[in-house]
Order: sequence, then structure tokens, then C-alpha cells
Amino acid sequence: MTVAAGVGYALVALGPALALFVAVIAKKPFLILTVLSSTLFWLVSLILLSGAWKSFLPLRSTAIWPYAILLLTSVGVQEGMRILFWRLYKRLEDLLNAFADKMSKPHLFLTDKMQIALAGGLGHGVAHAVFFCLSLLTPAFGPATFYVDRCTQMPFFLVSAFVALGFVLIHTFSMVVAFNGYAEGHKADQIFAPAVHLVAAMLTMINLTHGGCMIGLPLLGIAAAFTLQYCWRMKEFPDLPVGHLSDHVSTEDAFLIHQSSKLSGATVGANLMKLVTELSASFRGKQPATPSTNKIKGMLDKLINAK
Amino acid sequence: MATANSGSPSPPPPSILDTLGEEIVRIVAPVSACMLLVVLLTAVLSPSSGGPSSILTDIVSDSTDSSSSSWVEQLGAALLNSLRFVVLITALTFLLLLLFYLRCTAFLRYYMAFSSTLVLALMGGGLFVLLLHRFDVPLDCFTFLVLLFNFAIVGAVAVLGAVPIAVTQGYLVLIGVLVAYWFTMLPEWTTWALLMAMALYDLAAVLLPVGPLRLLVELAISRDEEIPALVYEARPVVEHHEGAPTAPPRRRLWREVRGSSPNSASNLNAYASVATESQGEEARLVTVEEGRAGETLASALSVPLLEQQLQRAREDDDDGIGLGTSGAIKLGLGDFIFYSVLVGRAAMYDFMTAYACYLAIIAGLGITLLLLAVYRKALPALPVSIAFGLVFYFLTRLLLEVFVVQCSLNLVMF
Repeated sequence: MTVAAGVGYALVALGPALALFVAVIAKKPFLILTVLSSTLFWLVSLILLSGAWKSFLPLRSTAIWPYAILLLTSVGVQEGMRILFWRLYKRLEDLLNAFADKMSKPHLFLTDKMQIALAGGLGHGVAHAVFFCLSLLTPAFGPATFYVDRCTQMPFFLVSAFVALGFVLIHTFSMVVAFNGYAEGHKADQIFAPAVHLVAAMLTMINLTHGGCMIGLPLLGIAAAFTLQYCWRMKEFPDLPVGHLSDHVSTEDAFLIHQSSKLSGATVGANLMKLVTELSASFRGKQPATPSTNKIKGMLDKLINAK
Repeated sequence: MATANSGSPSPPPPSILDTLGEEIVRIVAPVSACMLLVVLLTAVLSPSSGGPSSILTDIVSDSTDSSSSSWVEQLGAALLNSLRFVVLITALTFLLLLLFYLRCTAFLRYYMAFSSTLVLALMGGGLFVLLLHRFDVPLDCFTFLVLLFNFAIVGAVAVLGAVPIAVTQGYLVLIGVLVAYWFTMLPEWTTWALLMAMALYDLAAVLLPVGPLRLLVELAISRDEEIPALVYEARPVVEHHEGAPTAPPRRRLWREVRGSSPNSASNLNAYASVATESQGEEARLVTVEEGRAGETLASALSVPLLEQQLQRAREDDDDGIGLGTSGAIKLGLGDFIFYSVLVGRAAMYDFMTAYACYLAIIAGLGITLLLLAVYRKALPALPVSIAFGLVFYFLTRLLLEVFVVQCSLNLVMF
């Protein structure tokens, strides 16, 4: 409608992605490159899909089942691309660890791997937002707006921005879940990412009905929230990869760290939060140092001085 | 687990993820900035919103009216234009090689500064006038002239290398943006044919044994000097410029394209001279002015990607070819220009194509940098990126757009 509206739609679609980028990814150049390459992967998969579907388009707008097939094939191709991405990442991880050995730096930490997974997922999400929302946003910067026949309650641009927002969140965090699942062999996590992707894509098909976008969008939001919740509550796997730490600390220390931060039925998020608050409180002297935090401080000193 | 405690005052042990890929990002960032600025300028100043009347289009189009001629004729005209371009570039590159051989480097350096002043003043001035007109900014011409004069002169000083490196880098990106913006005014078929021709020329000139750029590189290495050229050097911004008092690291090559793109100014010159032969008197007036603008473009040269080799570090010449302790990657300005021309032209069609071409160019640049790390000699930066960019542009335009529009308009997305 105006430049302000156009910028607003763009920020609705890409606001969280931008926040994630500035907070986490912009600091590490390697993550920026990961985002760019995963965006490129997504684009290539989209081009392959559009090449395959070229002769069948444009679809008749009354029938539902062509869209279902379209979505199934699309989600299938993209999940295949995710597995390919994982394979490449595994090879890259070996290269990175070898490089780290040469530079006498520690191997990749768990948070590093999670950050790489996050960057990969963010690349997918940003690619979706750009190609499905931003590229069609150019008329929104002008003086008019546009409503689709089937959805007269919201401008087309706003609907696509909300859908893009949902998918950014879904892609970003399901990639973290998927990478953890592939690394640890948890079937539940491995199935989670394709399942959520397929469910979300099917939810957008509700938009095909008249007035369906008022139902479809909140459901998509629920799917995105579910993905976030699942990622936060990912079960901590039994063998926390402290193997790299065992070069500098004894295995009892490592076990103690693991145990000290473990709550019953621990989750990744809760453990991290507990560890962070304990450590920061003890460093600030506001809380008497517990044996576990002393151990951790000793470990940190050893690690820092071990260079 | 040690890296998990983000709240603690002691820093986590450094992982390789902190610094890996830093040099690549330091090159990708200014290239992205240049492309972004060109896309914004083409979007804001598009002909539909009262943009410039494309002087270049008038000169270059040479009676190929897009509506009246068939696509074969258009293709023929475009190929002819780009052939003229490449021939002129080759001739001027050899001239530059000759001048460099005769050790006229001081002349070349000062010409470089002079021509970048002219680019900033004339092309920049033209662009600023268009922007002022578009946004109805009230600015009187005296203030404008004073500001423009200062802007251009500081640009000359920056190009000569007597300022902090951030300023030089900024000015180089600006020069790239200006030249690329005016180049997007070329007619469409000519642009694509020109990009393909430039990529092929770049490949030939750097890798063939008789290629002028390769000869230039070898001459410079044998003399242990730096090629005077407009080169973007991806050094960290905080570094103090110890190289400034010594032989300035940024000597400008005035017509040589080392590995990347040729002298676009001389191209305009050629266009000017060709056009005056074929057109009439008033064309001569137009082309004379354009010719002068063309001269300024002479400075917009590029150098192939070079990576400083760390083993031959010397204190007095820390930025020579193949020397230096900084390990900085150098990318010629012509690369910036032609990448931005490609993305700008793609943006004139649609944003989807622009983004796809951007990703393709960055991927090509990454691959070229990887090859640079492997081969450690001057490499052409244009061919891979332009090839990827062209392929992705046509694929997106032909295949992807239909698909995405079909899905989006039915609000079915994945």
C-alpha cells in the first residue's frame, strides 16, 4: 500500500529470522556461509521441482487433489535435500575437526554443531520467505493492495507474510531437531522434521477453501509453536559429547558435570538454563559455590590455560 | 559444555568456528553491498517511476528497435555490440601492458586518481541529480556543486591511498555502484551478450599464455611491483595502514583488466567513437560527453583474485603481488561492476530472479575463492559467477516463476 506497508510485510515475514541472524549468526563468518549455502540448496531443490512440474502448470483451480500431489512431491524433494545436506555436513564436520587439530584448537562443541544446524535451517526458512513472500511483495510498495478471491479478510501480502513467518520458524528449528536426530540415531527426531513439514504444507491447503485462510493461518502458527516447543524440550541424549573435554579433564569430572546439571527427566533447555544460572551466580559471588560449579570453574581454567 | 555458559564473565575457549571463513565473508560482504545498492537504485529509479532516459541505450541500440525487429536481429545486434566491446577492451589492455612495460607507473597512478574523480563527479553527479529529482529534495545547485566537488576529490585521495582503508573500501564500492548502475541502462539483449563475452574474455585473458592479463601479472611479479589498478582489498578495517608511506599499495591501472573485467571506460569510448561514425551531428555532442565520462571509467579496472602468499613477506612492500603478510584477498573492481550489472538487470525483471542470481554469484565467488586457495595464482573471477548467474537467471525466469506464482496465489506454500 505504501513503502511503510511493504516494509512492514517484509518484517513480518523476516523479523525473527533477522533477529536470529544478528544475534547468533553474524558473529561467526562460518555460519553466514552456512546460511548462504543452505539457501542455495533450497533454491536448487525448488528449481528442480518447478522443472518437473512445468508441463502440468497452471493447475485447474477448482480441484484439490493436484495441489495435494504437488505438496507431497515438493515436501518429498525438500526432505531428500535435507538428508543430502546432512551427508555433506557430516563430511564437512570431519574436515573441520581435522582442521581444528592442525590449528590445535578443540573439536567442534555441541553448541557449535547446533549453531551450524540452526544456520542451515535459517537458510531454508529465509529462502522460503524470500521466494514465496518477498519476491511477490513489489506491488505492496505502491499505492494499492491486493486480495485473493478466496481470502477476502486479509490482503494477499499479509497472508503470505504470516505463512512465511510460520515456515521460517518451522524450517529453522526442525533442522536443529533433524540434525540431532541424525547424529544420535533417534528415530523420533528423524521423523519429526519431515512430518512437521508435511503437516504444515497440508495445513496451507486449507487456504484453498473460501475463507479458509482464517483457519489455516492460526493452525500454521500452532504447528510453528509446536516445533519450537519440541526443539526446546529435546531429550538430552545419554552420551553427552564431552569426549573432547576428556583430553583436559578426567572422566570423573566430566561425569560430575553431566550429573550436576541433570535434573530428573532433563531436557536440553532446562539443563542449559540451570547450568548457566548456577555458573553466573557463583561467578558473581551471589551464591555459595557448589562442588559442581567449582569443578566446572576448575575445568574452564584448565581449558583456557591449556592453549 | 564450556561454551554453553554465555552468562559467565570468563570467555569460552575459542572454537575454530569463530574465525573460519572470515576472509571469504570479508569479500562477500562488500560484493553484496554493491549489488544491494545497485538493485535499490534500479528499483527506485526505474523508468516507470520517471527514471533516466538511458543515454547508453540511445548510443548502443543502433537502430535495433525491440518491437520491430525479430529476435534473430536483436541477437545479432547484441552479439555485434559485445564483440566491439571485447575487441576494444583487448586493444586497451595491450596498450596498458605496453605502458606498464615502459614503466610509466606514476602516470598510470595519477591517471587512475583523475579518472575516479571524473567517475565520481560526472556519473555520481548525474545519479545524485536523478535522485534529487525523484525524491523532490530541495537543494540549490551551489551547495550541490560544493558537496559534489568535495566528494569527488576525497575519492581521488582515497584511491591514491592516503586515507584509512575503510574510506578507500567505501569509495571503491561506490565507484563500482555508479559504473554498474549506468551499465544497467544498456539494452537487455546487449547486457546478456556482453556479460557472456566478458566472462569468456576474462577466462582467455588470464589463463591463456598470450593473454594480456596474464602477461601483465607475470611482468609485475618479475619486477616485484604492484599493478596499478582499482582493486578492492579485503583487509580488516581496523588495521593501520603501514603501507601508506611506502610505495602506495593501491596504484591504479588505467586500462588493464587483470583477470577480471576490462576497462569499461574504454568501452564507452569505443561506443562513442563507433556511434559518431554511424550517427549524425547531435549524436556527436552526446557521445563527446559520454566519451569524457568514458575516460573516467578507464579507472574502473579490475584485477584477478590474488591471495597474498605468506612466505615472501617483506616489510617494505606489504601489498605487492604475491607478497605481503596481511593475507588479504584482492578482487578487481570490474568484478564488482559486472556482478552488480547482472543482478541489477535481473532485478529489472523481478526480485525473484535478482535473489536467485545473487545466490548464484555468491556461490560462484565462493568456488573461485576455493580454487584460489588451491592454485595460488591469479584467477579470473568472472567466468564461474557469471555462468552460474546466467544459468540461474534463465532457469528462474522460465521455470521457477510460474511455479511459485501458481502456488502463492492459491496460498498453498511449503
